[in-house]
Amino acid sequence: MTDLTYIGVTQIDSVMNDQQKIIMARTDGTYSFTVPVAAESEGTAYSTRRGTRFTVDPAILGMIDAVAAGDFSGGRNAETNADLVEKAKLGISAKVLSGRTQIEALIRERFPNVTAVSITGFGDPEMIRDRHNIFGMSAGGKADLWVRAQYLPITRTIEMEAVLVDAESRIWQIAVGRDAFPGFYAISFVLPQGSAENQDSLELVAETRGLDLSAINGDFVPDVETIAEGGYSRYQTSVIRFKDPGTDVTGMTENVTVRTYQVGIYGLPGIAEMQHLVSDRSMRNPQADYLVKAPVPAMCAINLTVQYRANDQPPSVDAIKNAVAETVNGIGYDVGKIPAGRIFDSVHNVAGPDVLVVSPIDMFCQIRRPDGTTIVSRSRDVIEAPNEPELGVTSRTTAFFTDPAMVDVAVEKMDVLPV
Amino acid sequence: MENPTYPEEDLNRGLRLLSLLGSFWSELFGDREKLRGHLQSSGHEQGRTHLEFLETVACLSRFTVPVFHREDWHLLIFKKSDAENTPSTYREGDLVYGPQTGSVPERAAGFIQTYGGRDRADEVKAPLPSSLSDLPWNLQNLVMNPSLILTRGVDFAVERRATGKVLAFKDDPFANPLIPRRQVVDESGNQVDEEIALWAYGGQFDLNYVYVQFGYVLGLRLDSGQFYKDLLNAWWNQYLEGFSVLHLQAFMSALSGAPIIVDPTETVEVVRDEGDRKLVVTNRRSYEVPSGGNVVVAVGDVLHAGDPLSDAFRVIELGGASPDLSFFQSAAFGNNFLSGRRVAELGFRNALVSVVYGGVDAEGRTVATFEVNGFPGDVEAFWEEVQRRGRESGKTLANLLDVRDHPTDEPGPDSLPRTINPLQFVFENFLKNNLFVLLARQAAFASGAPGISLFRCLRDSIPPHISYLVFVEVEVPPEIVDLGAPGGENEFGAEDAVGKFTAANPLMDEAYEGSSLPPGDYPTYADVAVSVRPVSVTCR
Repeated sequence: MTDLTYIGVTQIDSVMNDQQKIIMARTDGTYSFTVPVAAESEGTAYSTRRGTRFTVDPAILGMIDAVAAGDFSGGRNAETNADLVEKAKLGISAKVLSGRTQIEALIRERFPNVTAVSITGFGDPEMIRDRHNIFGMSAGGKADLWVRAQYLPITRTIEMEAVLVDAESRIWQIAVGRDAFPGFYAISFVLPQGSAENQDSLELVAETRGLDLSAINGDFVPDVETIAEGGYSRYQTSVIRFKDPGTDVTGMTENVTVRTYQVGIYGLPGIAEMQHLVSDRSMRNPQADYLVKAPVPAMCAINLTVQYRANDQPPSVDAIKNAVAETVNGIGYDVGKIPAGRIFDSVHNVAGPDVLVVSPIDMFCQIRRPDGTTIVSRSRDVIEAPNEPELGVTSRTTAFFTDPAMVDVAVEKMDVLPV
Repeated sequence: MENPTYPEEDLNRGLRLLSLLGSFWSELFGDREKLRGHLQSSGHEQGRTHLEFLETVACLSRFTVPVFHREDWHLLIFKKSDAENTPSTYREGDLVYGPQTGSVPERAAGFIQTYGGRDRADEVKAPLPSSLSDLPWNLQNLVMNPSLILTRGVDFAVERRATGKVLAFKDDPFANPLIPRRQVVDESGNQVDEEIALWAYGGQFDLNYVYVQFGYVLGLRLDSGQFYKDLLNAWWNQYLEGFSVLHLQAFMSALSGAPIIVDPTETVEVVRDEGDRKLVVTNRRSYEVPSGGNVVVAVGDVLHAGDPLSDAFRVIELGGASPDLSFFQSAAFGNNFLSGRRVAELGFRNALVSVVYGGVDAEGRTVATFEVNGFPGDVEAFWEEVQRRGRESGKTLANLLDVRDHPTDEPGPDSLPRTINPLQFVFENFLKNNLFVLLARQAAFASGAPGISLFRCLRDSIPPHISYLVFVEVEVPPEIVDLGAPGGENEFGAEDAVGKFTAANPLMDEAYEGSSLPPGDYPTYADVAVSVRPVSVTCR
């Protein structure tokens, strides 16, 4: 929703204030302009993905479509008493880089959207950065902070320059620097400039992650040797190659010609700011080396069927989707798994005790390790974080994500004889 | 801060209250005895209200929160049927079976209670309310002017059972005509039971003050008690003020029940062993060391806040100039401390072992190893990895151990030290800056102390880039052998024979990749454990 009036203008010179928006020509022959809007209410249920279609009331003459140009994110649900009790320990803790709880308290105070923090350090099998010695023995002095910076990752659309690297195959290459979207998870799409929001991405043919450990504004730079150690940190970089068959490359020169594309990058925001917080000389312990990372993403999809009694009203599919997504996204590092029972509970909590959740349900999960390899698991009973500490993947480092759009709910009447 | 004890106040002195009304009421009024009683009971009630107000105020601070709620008078009602169903059984988690310490009433000296056996049938046991934690004083048949007072330790005892606490009466209270009673009847008016009532003075009730007020914040729930309160405060300080040696020592003290010095500086003036406890008196305070602990301070010692007084625990900072490692025999490190996966942990002994010259590897670099204990395959893989890492970093272990001042080539056998202490090597080169050691002697812990299982609490409060090793000294209780007895197959005595038995064969497993393994000589590993237990005796 928006309370303001916006006017589309065709000339940049006509833009006199924030309520005048420049109209852009699109590759599909239509025109568009972008206006800021806000969700009707607060809460995770009001998160919306890029490309989601909206209806407009009252109708606007000549309008073809209204589409979300970016993710609506950052909404938090109202805190319950149980949440407050959970936060009591953080409340009494000094907000300093000392104990695990104190570090979490500091981060949560500075970044209120953070939903979970896990810290691996000396003596934890996940801590491999402190073994840079001839014995491969932990020497301490280092800690990794796996911060779930908000409820769900978002996609940022960034205009980036690509260089033509293979004219015959029409392969272009983009170097995604560490500041593009620090600690990002994945490249969601690459589109020519001016493409529609729901247009399919150009084909990504290769991605190579790397590290850029050059100093930043005098901040301390952590000791990181491999992408397995530094993946999802603000020092992560990437080089992507994609195929653009629709662009005529006649007259273009390999490794010289550059062109601007829209690149969608998927990740959790705030990783760079948090790294700055723990690296800044006003906060950091001179004996310690702290590296902030986004948690290892476990992207989940849930399929389930809900039955209701013939004489009852069918339950709300959207409410069930939101409830299931909230349950999955609310699973903390201390649980480390999604048991089917929790999904059942979440459905009954929102749809009432009289509905039936048809067992088994189908749960699918894809985990992308920090080194770029993936693990796919599927289960009717439980999805668990694997125990691969040497690869940085355990329940202490993995966060489960699912968007309501990734929850498929079929609602049907119970097929029973009348009594 | 202890709340004042109510009867010591003026409010329950009827005469005093009466005199405050004036001479008419205290001297001339005809029913002044009734008035005195009324004033006394009314004052009593108001005094109780005042104390509960003070208790509420005390609950606002974690330092002053009372562990138990105290009630001046509480009416205890016991059913005869409950008393008949509350036998004392000696078993795990309940009464202690085996030789009974001290004198047991109506039992011969040296009485041994058998497992599953029952206590004296003549004692009458009655269950206490679950919230009533202790009865430190008397039981009376009336609050005022009682005709019967039962004294703890003489007429009754409070015993702990697995199911709760019980009162053990020396004489059957249901047979005492001075104790008020009533019949319990069913709907038809038939007597089905009998109840007696006694007033308990100064009963301590467990209302979980410490947990409800503060413990829930840290998610730590233990049985109510001073140990719990101390532990909570020590742990709380770590969250509030950050991790420090002093807070760690306070935490260890609360964990073990062993005292530490409280004031910034204290001088020991008296050390005295009183048999069941040891006292250390300083110029500022008096401390009680649990009987199993050995006092580690002497008269004249000047001590500082946090210094332990007994050998219940020690905090050893490896980063110091010359840390005492003599208590280590060895240390084992697994996947939490070492790269790669292995079958079992690798052990590094605290002893001088030979440095082994292993020739040169394929790239002409000298190979040096020393004794590391563990599964043979793990040890082999460990040294291969050390050599690989050394090559990649430019300096192998042999290069690092080279005793020559300015080596120009790879070291030979003569350029390597003859011996090395593996434990000292890894401590000094890898661990000492971020590791400390907690040494705990469990026999020196106080009875009822929370114990070592709560070391887990430290994970939350210590900085994640440091860690600690815990060494727990477990002592085997002494076994008394009567050398005057001849001994037998199952009894120790003057003559004994060494028995032996054959253990199970060690398991050996062979693993191959694929099913079409060509014949050949493949290395296999057998993990064989031989356990030798030393037996030390003291003849007397």
